Amino acid sequence: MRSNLPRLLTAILLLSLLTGCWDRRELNDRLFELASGVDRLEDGKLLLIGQFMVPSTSEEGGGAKKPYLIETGVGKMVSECLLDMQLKLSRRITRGHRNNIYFGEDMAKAGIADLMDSVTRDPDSRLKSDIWVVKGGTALEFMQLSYPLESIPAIGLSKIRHIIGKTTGNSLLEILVEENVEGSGPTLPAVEILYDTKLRKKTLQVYGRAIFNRDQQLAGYLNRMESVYRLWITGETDRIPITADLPNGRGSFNTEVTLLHAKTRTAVNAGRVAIDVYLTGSGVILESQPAIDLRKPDHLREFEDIMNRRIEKDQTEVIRKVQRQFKVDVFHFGKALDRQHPQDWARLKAHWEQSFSDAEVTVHSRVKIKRIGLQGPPPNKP
Amino acid sequence: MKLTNYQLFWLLFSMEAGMTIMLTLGPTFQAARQGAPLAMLLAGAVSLLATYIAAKLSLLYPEDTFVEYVPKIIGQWLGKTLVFVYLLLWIAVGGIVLREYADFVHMALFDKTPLWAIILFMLIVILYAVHGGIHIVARCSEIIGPIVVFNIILFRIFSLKDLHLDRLLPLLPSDGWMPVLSGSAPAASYMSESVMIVMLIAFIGNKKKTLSSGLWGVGFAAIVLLNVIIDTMMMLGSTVPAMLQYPVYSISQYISVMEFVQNLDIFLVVGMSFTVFVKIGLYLFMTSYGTAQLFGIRNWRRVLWAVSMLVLAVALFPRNADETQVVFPLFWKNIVFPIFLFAVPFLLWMIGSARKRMKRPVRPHA
Repeated sequence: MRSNLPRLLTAILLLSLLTGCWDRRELNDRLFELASGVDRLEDGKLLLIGQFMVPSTSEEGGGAKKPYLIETGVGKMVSECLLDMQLKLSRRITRGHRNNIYFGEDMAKAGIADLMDSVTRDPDSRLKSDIWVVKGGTALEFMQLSYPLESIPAIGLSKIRHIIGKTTGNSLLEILVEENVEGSGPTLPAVEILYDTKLRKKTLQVYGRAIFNRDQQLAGYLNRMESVYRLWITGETDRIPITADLPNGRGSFNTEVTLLHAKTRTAVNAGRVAIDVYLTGSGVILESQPAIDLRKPDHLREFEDIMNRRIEKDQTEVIRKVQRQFKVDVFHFGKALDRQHPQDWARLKAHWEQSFSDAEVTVHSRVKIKRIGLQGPPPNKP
Repeated sequence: MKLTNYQLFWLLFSMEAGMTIMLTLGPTFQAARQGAPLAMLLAGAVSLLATYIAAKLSLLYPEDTFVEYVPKIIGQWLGKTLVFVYLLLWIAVGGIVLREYADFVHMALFDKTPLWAIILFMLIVILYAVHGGIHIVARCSEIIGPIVVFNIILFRIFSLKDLHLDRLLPLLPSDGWMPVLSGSAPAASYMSESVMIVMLIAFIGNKKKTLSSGLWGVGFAAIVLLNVIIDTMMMLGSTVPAMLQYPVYSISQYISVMEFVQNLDIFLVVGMSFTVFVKIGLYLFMTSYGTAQLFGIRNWRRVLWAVSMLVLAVALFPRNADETQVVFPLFWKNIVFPIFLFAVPFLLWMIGSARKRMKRPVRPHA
C-alpha cells in the first residue's frame, strides 16, 4: 500500500501535463495571412497590408461575405506595422502559410533592402515566398482588387505564373541568392493593374520582370517577351512563344518553343569579356498566315531559319537593353565566368557591372521546328 | 548491460547526425563558401580517423572502459585526473547539447513555453531510458536511426525539383584550400564526438566487428551530412546558408511539392528530438557510469541523478543562443577537438600498444 503512494502522486502530476502547455494554439484563435503588401507612405513610413483568410464563411454564409479580409498597419519598421495591424485583429496573425508578398512601385524605387530581414528572420515566415512588384501602382490598390476566379485573389497570380511557364515561384530566395553575387542584378516578377476600357473593369495582368540595381532599388522593367527571353538564359522557364515575319510582307507565323536549353560560354580577351549564348529548343507551329505548304522540307527549313534569326535578334536586344539601361547582370553571366575562368573572375568581379555592360554578347539560336500542327498550308488559301 | 555491433552502428549514427546537421552547416559555409562540400568530405575523413584511433585504443583493453584502462596505461594519478577531465567535458557538452536542442525547439514550436520546461521534460524522458541501462538507449536507437534515415530520404526526394546543379560549381573556391580546411573544422569537431566509443566498447559482446561497425556508423553519418550540404548548396547557393542560423530548417520550410506537401519542418523537429535523445542518453550514461567507476561507487544509478542535475545546471547556465551556438562550439573546436578528441587518445594508443608489446616478450619467460 505504502509503495503505491508515490506512483499515484506521479500519475496525478503527469495528468496535469495533459492539459497542454504554455503554447496552446487553438485554430479558432489564429488568423492565416495569405499575402502581404508593403507600400511607402509620403512621410517615409511603411504601410503594411495583410490579406487574411476569413474562417468558415465560404460556404455557409450564402456567398455574400468575402472569404478574405484586408487590414493595414503603419509604422517605421515591418514589425511595428505588424503590431499596429494586430491591434485591429481579434485573432493572432499567423504567417506560416503566406506565399505572396507585394511591393508597391514607390516602395521598390525607394529600395527594398531593409524589408527583407523581417521576412527571413521570423521562424514562422517561410523562405518559400514569391515577391512581386506592382508596376505603376501601390500594393494596397492591388490587394483590394477582387479576382472572380479564385476565392483568394493572392492565389490567382501564382497560378497564372505557373501556366505561362515559370517553373517555381521562389523569387524571395532568388533575390537573396542574387544579392550575394557580385555585379548581379536582383530581379522580381512584376504585375500591373489594368483598367480595361472596353469591359469597364479593373483586372490584374502579369507584366514581366522588375530589375533592381545593386542598392536594391528599382531600376526598371522588362516586359513579358523580354523577361521570358531572360528566363530562357537562366533556365527557369519551359516555353516561349515566338512570332516571326516572312520577308517582303508575306505574313507572319508563330511558334511555341519548348524543351528550352541555354548554354553560356565566356572568354576574356585583353580585359574585354566575350560571351556566347547558345539557345536550343524544339518548336511547334501554332499559327502560320502565309499560303505556304509546310509539308515541304525546304519551306520548313526556311521558317526555321527565319525564326532562329528572329530569336537571335530579339535576345541580343534584350541583353543590350539590360547592358545599357540597367547595367546589372541579370543573366547569371558572372557566375558562368566564375565557373569557366575563376582567375579572370577574381580579377573582374569587383567591377563586374562595368565589365558586363561592355561585354560583347553573341547569341546563337539553334531551335528546331518539330511539328507543324494539323495542316500544311492554311486550307482557306488556295 | 550488453550491446551488439548493430546497436553500436545506430547509436553512433543517430548521435552524430542530428545536432551536426542542424548546427555545423552555417559555420562550414561561412568559412569554406563554395568549397563547403569538400570541407564536409574532409570533416568526415577526420572524424573517421578519430573514431579509428579511439576504437583501436579501446580494443587494447577490450573488457575495460576508458575509466579503467587509462590508469593502467599512464598510471593511477595521472590517469584518474585525465579521466576526471574527460568526465567534466562530457557533462558540459551534454548540457550544452540539451540547451541547443531546447533553443531550437523553443524557436520552432514552443515560443511561449519557458525554456526550463522544455529542458526538464526532455531530461526526464532521457533519464527514464538511461536508468534502465545503456542497452535501453541502444534499442531505442535501433528504431530512431532508421526513422532519421527515412526522414532524410523523404527530404531528398521532395527537394529534387528545387535543385540547381550549377550552384554546385566551382567545387573549390578561388582562394584555395585554406578556407576549405578551416571550414571542415566545425563539422569535424562535432563528428569526432564519436570518440565516446572508448566508454562503449567494453559493453559490446562480440568485439570482432566492433571497429568496422563503429566506423560505418560514423561514415554513414558523414555520408548523410555530405548529402545534406550538397542539397543545401544546390538550393540556397553558398552565401545565403552562411547567414542562416539553421540552414536545414529553412530548407525544410522551403520545400513544397505540388502545393500540398509543404511545411515539412515538423519532420526535422521530430528527427532532432530523437537524435538528441540518443546523444544525451549516451552522455548521461557514460558520465554517471564513469564517475561511479572512478570513485568506486557500486551503484551507478545513484550517480546518474547527480549527473543529471549537473547537466540540467549546465543547460540552464548560458545567457543566450550565441553562447551555446557560437562560444561553446568555438571552445570545443579550438581546444577540445585537437587535444581531447585527437592528441590524447592517439598518445594513449601509442603508449598503450608500446606497453603491450613490451610485456609480450616477457611472458614466455615468466
